[in-house]
Amino acid sequence: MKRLDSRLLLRGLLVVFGLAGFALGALVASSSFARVTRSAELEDVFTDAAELPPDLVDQVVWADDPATLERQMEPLTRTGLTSAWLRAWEQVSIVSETGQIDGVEVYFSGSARESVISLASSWGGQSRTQLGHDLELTFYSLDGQIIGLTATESRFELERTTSSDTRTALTRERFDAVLVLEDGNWRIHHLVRRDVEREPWVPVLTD
Amino acid sequence: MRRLTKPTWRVVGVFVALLAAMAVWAARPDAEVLAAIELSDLEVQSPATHPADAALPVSITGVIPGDVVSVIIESSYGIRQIEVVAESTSIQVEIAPSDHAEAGLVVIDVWSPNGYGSTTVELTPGEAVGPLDVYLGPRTMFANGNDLAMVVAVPVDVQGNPVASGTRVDTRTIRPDRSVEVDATTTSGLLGYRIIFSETLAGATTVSATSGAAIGPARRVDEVANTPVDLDVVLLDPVPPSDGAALFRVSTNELVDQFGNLLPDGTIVTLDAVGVTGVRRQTAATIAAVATFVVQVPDLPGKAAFTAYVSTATSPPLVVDFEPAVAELPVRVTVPDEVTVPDAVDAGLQIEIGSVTTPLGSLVPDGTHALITLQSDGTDLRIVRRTQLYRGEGAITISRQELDDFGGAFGLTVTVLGVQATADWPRP
Repeated sequence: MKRLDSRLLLRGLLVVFGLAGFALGALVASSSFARVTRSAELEDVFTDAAELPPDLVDQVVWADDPATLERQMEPLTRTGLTSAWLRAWEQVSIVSETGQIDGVEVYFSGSARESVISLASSWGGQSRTQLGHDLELTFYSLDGQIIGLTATESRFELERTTSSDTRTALTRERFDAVLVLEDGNWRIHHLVRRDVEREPWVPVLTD
Repeated sequence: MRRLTKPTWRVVGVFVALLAAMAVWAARPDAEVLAAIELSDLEVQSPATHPADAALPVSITGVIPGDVVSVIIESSYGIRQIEVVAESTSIQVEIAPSDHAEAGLVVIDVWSPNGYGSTTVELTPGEAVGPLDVYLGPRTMFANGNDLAMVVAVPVDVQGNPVASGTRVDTRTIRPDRSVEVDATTTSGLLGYRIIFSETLAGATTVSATSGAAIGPARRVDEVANTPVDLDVVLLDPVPPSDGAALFRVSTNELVDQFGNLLPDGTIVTLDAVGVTGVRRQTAATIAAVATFVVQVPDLPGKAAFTAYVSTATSPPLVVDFEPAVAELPVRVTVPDEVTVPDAVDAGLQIEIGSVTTPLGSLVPDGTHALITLQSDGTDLRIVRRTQLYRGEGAITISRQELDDFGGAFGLTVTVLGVQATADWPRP
């Protein structure tokens, strides 16, 4: 009977530790899987096309147009312009994350295109993701080919990853921009940042 | 319960140790959290404003000698990174113009293994260089003294940066009469523009722009005639008789606007002809300010009104009277002799038409339709036949069976190109 008690205790312990081992294995497997799905290769795959995040459209707010404009902007043009602006910044985000420049010429022209392309390989470890824009039209040419606008506040999330940690910072920036209509597409021709208001970098706390 | 044996204690000890290891692993702090150490403040100093085309000095204080320091220059379009090894707690970095080419507010972030600092610099663009980026549109405007076009210039410096606001842009406009207008504006919102009002002489207006030493290509806007005045329709040929086949020409007068400018080639003119055969619409483009139409005469005599339209201008109607195309329309009706003609029972009535001639004495065109109508005098019965004339002649036969329902006399009408010949004929 006493020998039986000892064996029962051992078996109970084996069951308990077996269950604990199984739970540990599942935890390790899920953790590994989560890391695999965040790998850079998969991000490359999923960010190859400049898909316009639908939620972002709602994050673009246009101020009332100034009365001094020589031509009033058509609603359809404003829709196209909003889309072009968002897609252009989405392209910058793609460039910052992947270094890919395939779509840059679709959304940028002239010296702006050259600048985005020349800087594409320098982003290493740092990326920029748009969060929203407050826009104000400043110029619309009579023939509807050139637009000047001020992004009174463009909001971005910056991310910097090093070998030791990952940090993010929210930033609010002000830009002046000129866009031209080329081949039916609005393209950013010039972009000049006028102001930056950046919050402190904070470490990313992940699981 | 007896005391546990030594091997059993060993197994228990191993399991307990495993449990403890698992507990420690599960409660481990995240690796990234471990690395998220507090960063010391680095003092980064640079000029508040600096020319974009000059080397930018940056002073960094608070680094640890031997540390690798990353200097990140973030411009409007992206970032550039420079790494330097700190030789002392304070280092000086000179950023070459090629590493900060874009004008505007640039953020300089400095990272060391344990520290961070940041500053901003307003990089100012240089002077405008050529060729000046010049746009002009629309490319045409009415020469009515009231229409307008816009010339837009986007001056940039040698690195492609839009020049500073307030930069002067000069425009030079050469009018069709060779007069020259010189004007100036200043840039705002990265560009400068000027409105160009049309004058009253049609022709090419050339606009060029310069900004400092930067010269742009000349752009052209065409000043064109506006809506024509005194639009009219005139006949170019004698009006043929209404045979449905002849052609004649109609044109507009020379189209000029209120300032005497000829309308440009290719202006579309619409001509409506309303007459006995209905409405016919044609369009033609102007050549030398005149639009010419080739019109087919109707196949019925009568009047037709021709009206031309250009933009909002409408001509008064030109009324043309189309004469009948038939001068003589002989019709012969014969009843075969039942005795001498073997099949006279079925022969009925023979109607021969021709020779049908035009007012010019010629035969009507081959294929001209002749409409033959027999109308019973006593009833509503009617027989209608159609034939085509060949060499001005045609013939049909109405069988006796068809005529059986006709009681008494009947009327015969032959119509060719709207001209009628009639005859009363007793039933054979």
